[in-house]
Amino acid sequence: MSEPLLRLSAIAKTFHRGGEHVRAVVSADLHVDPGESVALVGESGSGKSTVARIALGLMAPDSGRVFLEGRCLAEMKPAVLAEARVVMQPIFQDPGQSFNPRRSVGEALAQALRLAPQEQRRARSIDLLNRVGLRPAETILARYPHELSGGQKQRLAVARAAAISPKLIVADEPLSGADVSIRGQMLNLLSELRKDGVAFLMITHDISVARAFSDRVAVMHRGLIVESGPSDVVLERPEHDYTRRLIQSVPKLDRYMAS
Amino acid sequence: MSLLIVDRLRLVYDGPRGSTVAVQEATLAVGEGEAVGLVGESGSGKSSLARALLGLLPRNVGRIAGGTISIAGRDVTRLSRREWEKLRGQPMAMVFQDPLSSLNPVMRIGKQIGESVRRHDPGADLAKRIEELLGLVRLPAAVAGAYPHELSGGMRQRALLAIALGCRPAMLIADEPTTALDVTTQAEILALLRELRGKLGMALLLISHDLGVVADACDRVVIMYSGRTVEWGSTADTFVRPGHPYASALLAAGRVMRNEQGLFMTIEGEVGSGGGTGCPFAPRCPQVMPRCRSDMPPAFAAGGTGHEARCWLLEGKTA
Repeated sequence: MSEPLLRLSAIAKTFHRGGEHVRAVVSADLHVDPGESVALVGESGSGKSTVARIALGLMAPDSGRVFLEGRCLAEMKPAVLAEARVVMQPIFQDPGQSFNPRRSVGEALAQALRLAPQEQRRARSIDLLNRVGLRPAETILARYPHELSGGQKQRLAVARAAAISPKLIVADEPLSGADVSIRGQMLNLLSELRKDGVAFLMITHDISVARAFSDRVAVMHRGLIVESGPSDVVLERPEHDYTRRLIQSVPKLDRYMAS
Repeated sequence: MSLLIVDRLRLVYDGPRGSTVAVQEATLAVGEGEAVGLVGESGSGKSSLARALLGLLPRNVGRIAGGTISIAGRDVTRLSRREWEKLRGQPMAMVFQDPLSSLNPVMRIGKQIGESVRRHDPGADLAKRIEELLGLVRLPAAVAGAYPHELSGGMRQRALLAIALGCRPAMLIADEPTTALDVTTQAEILALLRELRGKLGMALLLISHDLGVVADACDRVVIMYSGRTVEWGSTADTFVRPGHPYASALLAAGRVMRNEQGLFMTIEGEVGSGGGTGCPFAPRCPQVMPRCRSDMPPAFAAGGTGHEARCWLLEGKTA
């Protein structure tokens, strides 16, 4: 069997605040194969965002190991790690906060494209902006984040993540601040990247997004992955009580489906 | 009789660089005991409208520039802040999205409930009434002695409901009451709202961006877009056979559906400023006609009883 793109093996993480100990991740195993889309579903406090940060190498687990293309992150030298992490790009929930307010769109993309030859960066930035529908791209390049709407910032976040042709995008609630009418636009943009072979680890509380976008689903509750498997199996025939409760809690719009 | 009637309301915010129209024209009514959902995305004006309904527009900035609001038969459009004070809690009470910022952080929950009881029920046995209200929202009596930070998000929203119910409101305005909550907690709060309506016969105006929440909790629905109410009717009629292309697109997007090309359903573009004389949705509308860009359509019948939409496509159609 070939090695997964990303593999988390028995990771655990406890936070210590004052005298309190919060076991954010009790134990989690998770993998993402090349080109595959995996959704990690859970509610607040389930530990799903901690898993995302550990997967991205932004936080070290207390125990357990993270493998990127078969290599353990903890065993890499800093320079090697920086290079290895390039195959993995994050998209965070609040696009407003993930951009430096003092950098123009052009500067932000040039930074993301720093590994590309300097003379190509502008042309590639314009190409990226066009791909995510931020037009006219030449004008947008000169803008600053605060001059963009929430939806435009989300598009920019996708453009930045796509800049260096990553193999994996780890997206932590990328749609949760978006209005319903533009959520589809974001999903379509992310689907475009999937067609190019990019794998996804999508962290979400939204079951309809998980169902629509992922091949496999892992359900997290109180620091444990309580159930995982193919999306249609887990979400249509859940076995774990918590998964069932989660699915039943989603208000049903479908009872008003036109026949 | 209608408890609340909003007729062609126009709301304006005055700023140093001129005025912004937050609500162009909003019309809606809530009858006694009825649950109405006000649905809109960001920029639709739904939250400004909610504030205006409680006399809570930001002072010296927000103002009613046209239309009327009447509550229980009384025109309240031009009331002073002091006169509004008397109406708050009874007949209308309100709960907000973030219970933590609506609760007093340094006062025990029981005392906060007691204050609302004392204001509207001066003769009541306070301790007994507080216990009764906590029971009504299914919180243990011990919560009376707790401070807001000691409670979970769901418990705080219940406490806020208990304070609102202390006023014995004929109508509850709930602005995104479950948006900050997890889905399992949201389901509990929605079930509680249903139960309370059944027990108390209270009317509900639920403001939400979430179509599923409105479908779950409301008999009727009003859809806002870019500062205008564009469609209204029973939840069943409106959600099954929407008349306005915006409503259709919103419902398709809300269900995370794909079209024939395998693309997720979406609405291209973003909410515009709503300026100009035509339909505010025209720039994004897949079925736009030349007149849509110049003339704002009036309300046309859209099918069911009381189901109407402001769209030229419905002109001359008798559904």
